[in-house]
Amino acid sequence: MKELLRVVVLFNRTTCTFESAEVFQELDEKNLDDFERLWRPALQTRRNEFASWAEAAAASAQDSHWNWVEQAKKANASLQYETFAIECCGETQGLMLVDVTKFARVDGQRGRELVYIERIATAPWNRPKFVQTPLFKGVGRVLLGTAISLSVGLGFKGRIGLHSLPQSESWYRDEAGFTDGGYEQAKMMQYFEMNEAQAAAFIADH
Amino acid sequence: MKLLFSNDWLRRKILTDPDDDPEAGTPLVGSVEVEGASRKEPREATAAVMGDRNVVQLRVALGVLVRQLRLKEGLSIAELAERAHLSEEDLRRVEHDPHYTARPRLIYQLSYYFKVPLSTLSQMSGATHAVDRRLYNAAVKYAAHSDDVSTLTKEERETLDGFVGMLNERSKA
Amino acid sequence: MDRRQMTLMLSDKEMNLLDQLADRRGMSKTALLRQALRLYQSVTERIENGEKVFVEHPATKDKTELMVL
Repeated sequence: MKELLRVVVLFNRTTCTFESAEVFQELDEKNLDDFERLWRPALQTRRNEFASWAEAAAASAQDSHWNWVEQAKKANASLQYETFAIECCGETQGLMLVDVTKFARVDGQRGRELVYIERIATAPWNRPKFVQTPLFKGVGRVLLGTAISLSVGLGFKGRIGLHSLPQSESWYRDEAGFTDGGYEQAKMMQYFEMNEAQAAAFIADH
Repeated sequence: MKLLFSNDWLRRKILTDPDDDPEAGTPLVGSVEVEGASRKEPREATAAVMGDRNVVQLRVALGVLVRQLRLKEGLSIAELAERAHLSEEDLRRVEHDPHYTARPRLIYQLSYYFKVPLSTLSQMSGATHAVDRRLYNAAVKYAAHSDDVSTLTKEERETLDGFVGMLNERSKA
Repeated sequence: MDRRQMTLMLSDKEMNLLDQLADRRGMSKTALLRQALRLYQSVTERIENGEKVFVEHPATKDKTELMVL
């Protein structure tokens, strides 16, 4: 059942102020409806404009093939997955799906349990590469902090892993402090992991 | 479940984060070739639909461009691979094998590293169904005037700068 | 989240194993048991969907099918 975890803040780029937003664990019909009605049409229209995957990646228009509805329903019925949503102003601003049954691959923590982020995404109207005047900033950081919090809560000490979209690689590697786990041919993406110390440093309050 | 970060932390960090939110997860289904082939209309009125020979010629030009950009910075293939987070093998093939289909991520990383427009490199890699005619002509002419040497002459630097300048101008148009 | 309580009786051997595994995995016994439940569900669903689950020897690459009935 959908549960409010806490009220957080997102930065409204238009008004240059922070606004309250809610982080929920487990998606419900409202979140899935927002994706189908508000996110997908915008993403599909833009996606059709690009002649190559690389350009769609650069313009942040990739979600249209991602089936949140199917994934969320699977997650709700299973202990293997968890879903999260951020809502602000009555609309879903961010979504995240994680798998809690995967294991770390990077040296130093190989074989350890971690929270694997299957998909983390902000609404299309929040993406600077997608719209001229993006609205909210901070969705990614809130959701990453949520994944780390879940990892700690499960006893995995904050360890998380993900495959990065190309335009976000430098952020994960250089800003957030992930370890670069190398390119994965099967997914055509770069793999990143955070260990306990990196996770603690990421959410440290200083 | 408790969230282990404070709103003060969020306020501080969000302001200094880069402008775009990080994203992760499974990319689109389907290969670039499939996506490119599925497009019915060329994107630009001056676009030409590509035959195999055209693709090879463009990739030759791409290989020359990448090699010359690398040499201009005085980098070996290994050094560029490390800096751009790419595999040496893939880089070698882009530079020397016009039958090699570069992965979208590689094209993206080269575009990002060398600050050359992504749409241009995508077209030169053969990843798109149709290519701007003027780009095609300019690329083929550029490659024809470049020699395979380990360092750039002054004239080659000027040719390279002129070609890259033209690519940047086209992307703004 | 609603929670319900269960009392679990374990043999000495089972309890010792639980202690050892929790220590080796760096987790509490409760966290480990919860994770075991998740993994068991994941494997069961795959098998019920017709998939097969194998373990592979790293050197010989011999595969042994893991059956969950």
